[in-house]
Amino acid sequence: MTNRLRVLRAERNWSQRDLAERLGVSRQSIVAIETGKFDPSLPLAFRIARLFNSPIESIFLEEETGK
Amino acid sequence: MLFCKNKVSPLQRRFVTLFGVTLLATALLFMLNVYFREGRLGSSLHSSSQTLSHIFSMLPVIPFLGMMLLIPRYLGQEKDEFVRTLVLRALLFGFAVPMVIDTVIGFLWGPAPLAYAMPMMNVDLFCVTALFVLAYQVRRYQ
Repeated sequence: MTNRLRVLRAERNWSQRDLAERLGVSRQSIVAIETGKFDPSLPLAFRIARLFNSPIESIFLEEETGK
Repeated sequence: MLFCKNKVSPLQRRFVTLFGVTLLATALLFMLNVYFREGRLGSSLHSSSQTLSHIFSMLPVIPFLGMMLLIPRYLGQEKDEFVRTLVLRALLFGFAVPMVIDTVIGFLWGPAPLAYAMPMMNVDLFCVTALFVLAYQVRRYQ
């Protein structure tokens, strides 16, 4: 799964720490999510979507599987 | 909630302290155990009570059992799911490394004294491995 977290964060001029504090998670969580090494749970994904005021599917995108 | 060198949440600080205390307590009880069993104080106890010897051999695992009871509480209280994942991964490595070392040493040295001594260090090895893996992972996602 890929995501647009880094882009959305940059649009708002938020640092990873700012975003982490707003979401109530560690900065490591943000690093892991942005680099695609960790997929957030549904509740956290909803919190992210609410924070950016965007639907989940516009933030988290399913990777195209090779055919 | 921050999980880096100088900014650790009270919950995470408590967890690391728990590991440290368990490590120390196990090592101390282990030494006490050896002290008793190897004679100095134990010479009088040795012949009198086999049961006492069994009780002493149980002592070093008491802190570990206490820690095993407290870890689920920590995991239940930790709100950061990613940190929970890191801790679980560290615990898995903590269990795996002593098992691997025991197995290899068991096969290599069989009944030699080292093969007997290594299992006694398992709890310490578990704590050290888990802490090391946790620290490595936290650094990796800085």
